[in-house]
Amino acid sequence: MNKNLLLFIFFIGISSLLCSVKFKPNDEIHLFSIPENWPIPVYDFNKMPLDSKIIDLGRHLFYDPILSLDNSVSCSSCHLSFTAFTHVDHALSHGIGDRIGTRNSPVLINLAWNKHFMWDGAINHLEVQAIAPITHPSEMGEDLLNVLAKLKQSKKYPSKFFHAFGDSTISSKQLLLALTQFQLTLVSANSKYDKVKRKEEIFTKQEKSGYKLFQKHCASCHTEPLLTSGEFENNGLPIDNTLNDLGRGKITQNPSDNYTFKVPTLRNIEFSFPYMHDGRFKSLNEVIEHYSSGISHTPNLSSKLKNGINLTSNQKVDIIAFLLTLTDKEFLFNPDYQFTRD
Amino acid sequence: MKWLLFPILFITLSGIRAQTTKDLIIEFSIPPVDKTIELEKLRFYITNIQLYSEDSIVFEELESVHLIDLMESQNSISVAFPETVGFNSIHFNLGVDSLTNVSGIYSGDLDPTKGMYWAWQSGYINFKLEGKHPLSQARNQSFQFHLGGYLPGQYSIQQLKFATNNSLKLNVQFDINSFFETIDFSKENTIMSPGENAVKLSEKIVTYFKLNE
Ligand code: HEC
Ligand code: HEC
Repeated sequence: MNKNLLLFIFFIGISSLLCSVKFKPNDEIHLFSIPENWPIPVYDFNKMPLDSKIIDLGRHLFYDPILSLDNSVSCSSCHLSFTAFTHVDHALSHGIGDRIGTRNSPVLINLAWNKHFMWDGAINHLEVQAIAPITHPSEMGEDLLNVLAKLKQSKKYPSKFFHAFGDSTISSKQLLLALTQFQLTLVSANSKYDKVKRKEEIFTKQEKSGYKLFQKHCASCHTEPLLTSGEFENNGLPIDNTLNDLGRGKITQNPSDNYTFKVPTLRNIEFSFPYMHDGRFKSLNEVIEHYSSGISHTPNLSSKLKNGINLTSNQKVDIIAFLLTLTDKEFLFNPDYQFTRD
Repeated sequence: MKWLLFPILFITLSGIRAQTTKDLIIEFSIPPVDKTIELEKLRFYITNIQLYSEDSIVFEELESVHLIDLMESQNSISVAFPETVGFNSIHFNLGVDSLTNVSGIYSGDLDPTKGMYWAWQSGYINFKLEGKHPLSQARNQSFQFHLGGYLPGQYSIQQLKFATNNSLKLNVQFDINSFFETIDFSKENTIMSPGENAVKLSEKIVTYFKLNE
């Protein structure tokens, strides 16, 4: 009897020990893991490992218009989860008071691998990125100190910040780290393309032909597996004189960077229209048409595109068929990325 | 036994403190400014403080970042350094280095709410000077110099070196009047972003920091 009881206690002890030991790594793997054969992320996770409580706080903040001047606009107003976190159907993003910005909002995908942020790389680190939209007069038009004051006065946030960071100051660093941690979890690596790479599925004949063409003509900039090189290139868009956007050149003030923009990832491209930094193209057909017959010889045009890309109409259809395999439904409809009440 | 711990701890801690460090105070100031000029903001970063003996470095402050705000009388820095260290020159930077500029979010003096961070383009403002000058052609006769930049060709951080003989109190004066005399306010009154102009002005400004002994 006594022996059995001891044994029982022993087992309980061992199993709870095992559970608690296992829990931590499991939790971390769930929060973020590097997909097979992907490069090491650019973001340094050693500085502050992901924490589910901080991520949860970041998720609430991402969806909360409290970050904007008139409490009308949240990050998600321009970055909608169902469209890979872009502003669907708006060429130029809309902010508070319906002021129109000068650029199309990009997707928020695999940000842990981004070297530069914004179309021109004006922002150099994910942690400081949110300062830009929060304080931009035509985006959220708010002042950081004012946002912090509003958060402190709110019913919800003092306890959430305390829960996440173990102190109740509500600092700008905490606010920005929370937004960062949530956005780091936005990893898309489960499209048909990824499954084919992992040998779990196979391409159709058409997709396969499209993939070959893609590797030949597109992958030097839209590099696998992230589908972006992260570099700045001029892909031959005619200059829009109303915006006259110099792109990277405005930041470096180096004329050889004029009209170059950050190569965007093509993951979930089916859902992230309109396309390009100013949202000039509404469909993938228009994009392919641009590469095959619309290349404009503006300053610093990439040498890879000097002669355009010659494609038959069948080949165009094939490339699009391949691009559609980059859709990751699990990413787009991941409940962990969506608005939550509690 | 526990009661023993306290005195021991106390003795060792106070021993460490008393025996090993001294404080070096660096104070920043400006002379009185001509009445026709109105100063509104004068803030800058002092970073990477190092003490030298002859040509070798003998002490380097850790996490060495100090925001000086001469309009808000936040004008002095206290540097604790080992008592055994002797020095005959001090080096520090006017501005924030490029590594810090690309390493994400910080708190303390580097907190982005301090008004020394550019929002639309990552990077710290190293030196901020704002006010009104009768000759300025800008709106309200204002002038605004926001100097910073860390990219190649825009690197505007500056280094200051002063000879000093183990002095524990240094008074560094920014000779703002002489600086103003070199500026043609009718043309040169606004710099708000990194670039060639910011670099040039930063290089000029640093030459007006003098040690007052
Ligand atoms: C009014 C629309 C709008 C709002 C609100 C908005 N953004 Fe954006 N976002 C944009 C636009 C437009 C860009 C691209 C800007 C550029 O290139 O100059 C962008 C870029 C980004 C990027 C860079 C992505 C990349 O790959 O370069 C991130 C990250 C981001 N936003 C996160 C946020 C967060 C977090 C919030 C809330 C604090 C937010 N955004 C609020 C429109 C918006
Ligand atoms: C020389 C580098 C380069 C090559 C080659 C290239 N692209 Fe691009 N691509 C870019 C750049 C840069 C952009 C963003 C341009 C901008 O907005 O100013 C872009 C944008 C896109 C977009 C819009 C993405 C979005 O989110 O708005 C699509 C789709 C696209 N490219 C597909 C392709 C395809 C398909 C090919 C091959 C036929 C290709 N690209 C070849 C550099 C390149």
